[in-house]
Amino acid sequence: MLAKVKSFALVGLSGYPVDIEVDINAGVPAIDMVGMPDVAVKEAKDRVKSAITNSGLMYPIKRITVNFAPADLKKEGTLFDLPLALAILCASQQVEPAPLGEYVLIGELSLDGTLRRVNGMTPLLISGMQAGYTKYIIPEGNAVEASFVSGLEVYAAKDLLSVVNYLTGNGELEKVAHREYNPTEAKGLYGFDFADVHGQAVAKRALEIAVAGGHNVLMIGPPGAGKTMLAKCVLSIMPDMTFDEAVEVTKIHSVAGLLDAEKGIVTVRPFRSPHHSATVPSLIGGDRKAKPGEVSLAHLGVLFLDEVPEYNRRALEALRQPMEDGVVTVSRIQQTVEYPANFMLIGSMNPCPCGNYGSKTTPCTCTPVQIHNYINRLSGPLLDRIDIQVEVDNISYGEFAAAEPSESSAAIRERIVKVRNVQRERYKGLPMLTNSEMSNREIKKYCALDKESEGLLELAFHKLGLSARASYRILRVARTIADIEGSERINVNHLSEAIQYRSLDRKYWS
Amino acid sequence: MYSSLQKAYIWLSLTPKMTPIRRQKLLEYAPDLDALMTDFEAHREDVVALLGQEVYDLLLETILMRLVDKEIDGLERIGAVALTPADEDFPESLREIAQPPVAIYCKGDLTLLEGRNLAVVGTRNITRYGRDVTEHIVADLVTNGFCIVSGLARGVDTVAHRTALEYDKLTVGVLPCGLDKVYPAENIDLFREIADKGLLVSEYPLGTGVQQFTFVERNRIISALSIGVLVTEAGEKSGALITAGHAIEQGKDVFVVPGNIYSKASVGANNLLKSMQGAMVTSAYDILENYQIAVDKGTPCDIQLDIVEAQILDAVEEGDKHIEELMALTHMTVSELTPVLTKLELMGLVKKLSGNYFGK
Repeated sequence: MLAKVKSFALVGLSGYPVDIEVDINAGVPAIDMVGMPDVAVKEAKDRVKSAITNSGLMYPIKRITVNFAPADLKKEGTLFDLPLALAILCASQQVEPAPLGEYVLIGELSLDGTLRRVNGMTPLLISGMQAGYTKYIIPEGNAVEASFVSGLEVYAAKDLLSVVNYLTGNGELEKVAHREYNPTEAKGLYGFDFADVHGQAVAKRALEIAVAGGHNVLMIGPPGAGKTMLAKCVLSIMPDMTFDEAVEVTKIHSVAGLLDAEKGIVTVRPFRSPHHSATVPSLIGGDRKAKPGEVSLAHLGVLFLDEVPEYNRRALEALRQPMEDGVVTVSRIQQTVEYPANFMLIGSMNPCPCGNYGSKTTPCTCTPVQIHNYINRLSGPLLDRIDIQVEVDNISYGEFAAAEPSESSAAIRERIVKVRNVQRERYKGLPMLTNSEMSNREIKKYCALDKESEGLLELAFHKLGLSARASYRILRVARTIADIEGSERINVNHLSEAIQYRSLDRKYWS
Repeated sequence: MYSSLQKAYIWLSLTPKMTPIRRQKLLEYAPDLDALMTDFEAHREDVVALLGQEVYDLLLETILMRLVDKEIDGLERIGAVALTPADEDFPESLREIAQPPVAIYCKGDLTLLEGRNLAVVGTRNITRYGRDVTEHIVADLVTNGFCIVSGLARGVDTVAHRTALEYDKLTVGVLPCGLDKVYPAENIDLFREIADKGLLVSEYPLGTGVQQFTFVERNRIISALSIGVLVTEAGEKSGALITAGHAIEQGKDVFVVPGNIYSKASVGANNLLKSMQGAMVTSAYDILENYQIAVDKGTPCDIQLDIVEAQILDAVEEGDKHIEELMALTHMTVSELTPVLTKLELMGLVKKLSGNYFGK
């Protein structure tokens, strides 16, 4: 007899419906699977067999043919265990096809029939909803993340038997109640606050500007100066995520299997700090299954690269495209997948290989060539995408710090939210949200300079030996500073401050 | 157009293995160098006896392959010229030294070959002290009419050239390689700028790369083109000491800036001072006085500073200050203070140091 059960599968972040067809015939007892199942899917037959018998149900000793339709797409993962089991039970007439056909089934089975949590539930449910499916049976372990998707009838089941009982009218399943997203839950979850950072006034100011205008930052300072700490504090001054943003991040983390089952949704902006030995696929995304990389996991959050020059040159160059486009395209033999990758890059580096260049107390032991090579590991095109370069104070400098209490992150965030709103208003109708995304055309339009400022910029180029490519970045940052100060036009003071955030452009560095 | 004598000198300059001693021998053998070149094969036996078969073959090869004409074409293409002792423009100072070059290749303003030139040389591994000293003294020298001669190497040389150019003053770079080579590569901007506004000099034909001995040989030209040599910072084995040695041999003045006695980067300069105590200078004015040049201390500062700016200037006068010290001093926030610092920096009154320190 033939049975058909609906399920969903993922390509990247979008799902597509999969029909699981089971036909049971007389013949030598065996199970054949067609429709491009991968290893994990093929192994389902053994799990399903044990789960069915251990649940006190009957596994048909006949010839079973399984087809995963559409048959031309590769099926991956363990989420077809539950629909496969139900399809077999239906084909062997232990479950009626009538109620079963209304549901989309997703879940992995363990040998005793218990349902296990699967990755990617949020994007699966969202694409199911968009495709018009409303009723779902999922593992209990995925219930919390499912609760944030509204407009669906989702039932969470503990094991295979309870699903069978529900479908045969012998029991009830718990219906997942919809939960509202509450961004304030995130408050207090950030472990680091700017109030705890003493001194570092310049770096703090630079980071505030960076977050306000969506600029990427490079922090330069000796080892142990607190660059990592400062970077971690950045999350606490970023605006709360909206529901749409939270869902977007949740989707990616869900696919990557990083979602906290108890929270079910990502409310805290992600902070990713891959080690400097990271490979290109681990940063950008890839491997056989086209998994999201660090740039996507840092979507709407911070990607922190400690000791930037130590990273593989190719890995750094690969960051350029996602930094430009906000999305990353991962191509593999089987599929091409697009993941969002709109992150704020915070890099840190020493001023020279030994870290003491320019220090007052410890002499630098590097040769000029070493310093030159070290700085040059950052290519021009990459630096082009980093608007702010700021120097972080040496730790030995602590004697002057803490004279006044530091401002808390909450106070800074309030200012930033205002500035972000100003930018949203300004770029209404344009595909951009922040000053950092301004192209040359917008810069001409929104960064007009008065005579005095123009003179200053010219003088700065001449006197400080700034490189030509610095000018647009200075203007973008000046725009953000003007926005923070609540000024419609960029004036000399805004421009002067922006010029201070170009440490690496100065010719005299080495 | 080059005369046949000029071409003959270039011929010697182009031929490999023509060491200064061999050149000398050949010049003594044939005072009419152009005659020798036109009829070189006739002198085969004498030249082989004098310099050996190999050198004779090389000299002949240069003639047969018409390398002199090719070199002249190449020089024209990059806008350079060759000067030989046959030229009137050939600097007198170069004729007088031991082992004078048979040709120098120049690109830029030839009038700079003779004049009030001062060589500024020193270590490649420059420290902050060396940088400050070099910038400071060179600035005062160029504003008082000196043209800076140096070797375009890393460290002191680069700082000296750059400082001169920053003040829109003249500078001469003496290369240890052909005019079409750039060493060190990161100085390519500097090369172009000097060729544009100053003068590049080399005794090596086009295509010659740097070799250990070219650095040493080049130093004698640096000192020869100058009236004196200033060593701003030099470690124990710095090439600057060789230049100073050439200067002494050539009867030029040597000036040395003393360094920190604990600093390795200053051992060479301090040792030099021990042997010639009269060479010590602590500012450009010591050098100016030596040449009895009236001091132009620059136009007095007529910029009106406001109270905060004056306060900051006073503070950095005492020593380098961290930005937070300045914030505490002026009761200003970062966003208020940075524009002021940028302004002062652009006026050349304060300098941004690394680690958010500001100094004079």
